[in-house]
Amino acid sequence: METKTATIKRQTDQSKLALQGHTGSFEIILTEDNPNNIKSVFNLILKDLKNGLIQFELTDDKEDMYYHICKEYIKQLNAEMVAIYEELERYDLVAEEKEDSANNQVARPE
Amino acid sequence: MKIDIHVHTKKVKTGDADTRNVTADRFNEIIRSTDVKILAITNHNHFDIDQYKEISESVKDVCQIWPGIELDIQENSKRAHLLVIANPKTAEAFNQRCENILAGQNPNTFAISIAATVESFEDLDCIYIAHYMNKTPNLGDVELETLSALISNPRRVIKEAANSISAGIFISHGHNSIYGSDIQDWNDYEVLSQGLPDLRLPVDSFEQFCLLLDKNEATINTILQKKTCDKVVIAPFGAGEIMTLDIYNDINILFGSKGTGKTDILKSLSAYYNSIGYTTSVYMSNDRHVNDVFNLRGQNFNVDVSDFGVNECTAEIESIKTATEVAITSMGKYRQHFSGEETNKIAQKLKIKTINHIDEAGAVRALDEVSGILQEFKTFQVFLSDNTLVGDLIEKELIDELVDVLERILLCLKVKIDNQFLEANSLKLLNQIVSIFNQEITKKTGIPQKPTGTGFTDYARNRIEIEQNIRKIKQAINTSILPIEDYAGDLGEKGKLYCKTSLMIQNGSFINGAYETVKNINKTPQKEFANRILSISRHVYSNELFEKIADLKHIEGVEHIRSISDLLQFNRVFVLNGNFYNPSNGESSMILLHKELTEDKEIYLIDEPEKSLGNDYINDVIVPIIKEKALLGKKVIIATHDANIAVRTLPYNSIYRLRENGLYYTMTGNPFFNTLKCINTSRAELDWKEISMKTLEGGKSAFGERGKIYGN
Repeated sequence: METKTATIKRQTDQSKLALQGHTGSFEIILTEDNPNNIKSVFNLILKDLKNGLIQFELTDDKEDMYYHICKEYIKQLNAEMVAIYEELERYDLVAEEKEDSANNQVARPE
Repeated sequence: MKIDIHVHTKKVKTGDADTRNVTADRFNEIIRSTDVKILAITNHNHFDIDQYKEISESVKDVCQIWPGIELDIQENSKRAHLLVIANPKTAEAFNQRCENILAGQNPNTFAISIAATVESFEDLDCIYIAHYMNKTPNLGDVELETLSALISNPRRVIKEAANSISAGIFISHGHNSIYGSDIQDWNDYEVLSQGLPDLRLPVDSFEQFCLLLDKNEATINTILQKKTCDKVVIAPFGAGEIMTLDIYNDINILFGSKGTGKTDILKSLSAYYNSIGYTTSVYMSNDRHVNDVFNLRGQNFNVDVSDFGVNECTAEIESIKTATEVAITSMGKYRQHFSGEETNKIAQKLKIKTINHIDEAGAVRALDEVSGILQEFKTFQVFLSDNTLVGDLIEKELIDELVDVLERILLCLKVKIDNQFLEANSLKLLNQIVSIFNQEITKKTGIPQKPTGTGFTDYARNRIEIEQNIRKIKQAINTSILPIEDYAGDLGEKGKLYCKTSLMIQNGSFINGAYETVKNINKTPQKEFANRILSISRHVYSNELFEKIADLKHIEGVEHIRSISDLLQFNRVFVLNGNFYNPSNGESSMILLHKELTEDKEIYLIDEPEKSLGNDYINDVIVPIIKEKALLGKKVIIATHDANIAVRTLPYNSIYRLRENGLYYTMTGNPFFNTLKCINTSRAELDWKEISMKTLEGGKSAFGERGKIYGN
């Protein structure tokens, strides 16, 4: 398990929660209700989890509403990622390179 | 008809018993009280032509006497006995050869090599019967190979067994074997003769015996291999002409001019055998084409991918078709909750509201797993208590011990289940309580409740399930299925023809106009379906996933694609030496006849197999198969005009249909007797050879070959 950084980007037009994963960073817009944005991030997190379990740790120096939202969100997300990582392992979906290894088999009459 | 190929009529060697001496009168008296019809005199290193003639003359009306000798063979530093038996017609010459090798020799010490023996007797067309195995002193396999290699017809070598049991065993293992009385005391002969071998077919000459040797590995009947004959009563031409035919479990040839009702007889025989429980039909040449018989168009052809070990993916396909997006928690809910200031003092104290939902899936799964294991053990416990055979096979103490261990395991598992049940349900209860408290606090304070989760768990699970299903479907559609190759038949020198059925699962890129779909589904939806599956697999972790799934759902006809089998296509062709081949009509006949004859049946009814076939194919392929069927004791009934079949197969039974002066006659006989007798004795006998020559087409060479064997 690796601990990755989470930061809050406060901007005048929109604020974001920036999550650093194995392969890149993902940003959740905090100031808008944009399910597609969150789904995109979830997709990236899910793909990232295949490279190993990560947990986010919030680094922020302000105690405003965004801080409380993000703190709670990350707490919940971390717990959920643990459960999903277990399932990825269980279904042998962790290593991407295994995905197509069983393809192109030859079948014979039984 | 009994045969005795090993008889002593004289005490020759010092060790021979006096009781081997027999006079012609005594011999005559004894033989007439037995069923022995063929007898070979084989004294030790001695042949007495005068005695032979005297004995032959005395029994000539009841028994054939063949001249012979039992020689001491010296080969490979080994001494053994070999009977050499000659054609009675060459008795004088045989006598001369015996005198040549025995001149000045003492029978007690005489010995001759195999090569010298063959050199002395080979041109007399003799039969060689070697003491074998427990019939001592015996020739070994090496010496027998030497003998077989030196003579022109290796089938003339027979292995002499000590008794009928040994002979039966040798014959069942493919050795031609026979046994004789090797009589020590003529007073015992009448009793002894009852155990002598029966010939499989009555023969009335040395030549016919040789013919039988050429036909069968087993010259004599044994318990294992016995030719039987059915008396079949049929009325192929109506109640006015009822006929009783002898049908052997061998080759039965039905011949006669065209229009004499041979096909009707075959059909009638088929009906008779079907009526007593066999399944037969008459094979008619040119009745069907090989393309239809092998169903080249694939009408009603149906296979499933599961027949080849490929996953049908029925549940996976259904799951993909019905997959829906899972909602996630919006950021707005977090903002709404955290933007409100909680002033209610009681609500502030209720720490339960800060507890997040805990994922229940893991605990539920663990409970299911333990339940499954518990169930397996319970099933085994029931099996153990219900199965009485277990108690018979295993000691009670062991079973008691097992029962005790099982009970302890079950107890342990029950405790685990209790724990898992508590775990799963306490989580469920906790999540419910947290939800209820949050709802109530919201009602009291007006502050929106805190979301209990981001929605990532359900969202991710949904995608993982889709990925798993798509992966299985992709694996299935990318599986190559090895072609099914059915042996179609032998095209002689050209090679062996196979009917090849190639199967492909539509994987999105397969295009071949020669292929047809196996199921009642068009090719277009098959291909679209496979391509959509590939598209979905590329978008499992993208926001367009459900658009791609919707594209799949909208394929016209997709409702008919429920499993991987629905994506199957096939192509069926004939192949010869690995290449596509289109058999001609003649080749079609070859294949169908070959197919008919190679099917495992008890009764083969074949009408004019020679139609459209060349002599080479009949001789090289068909005749050997027919002979093999006869050896296996099958009933082969063939209506034919072809001499190659009628003669070269050496049938036990020939049925001849004769039309004469407007009347029809049915006559039976065989090449061994060379006569055809009317089954209801309403007509005089006919000469089998003459009639066959006149009636059967082609085959001068066939008769020539037969002539060599018969000498006529």
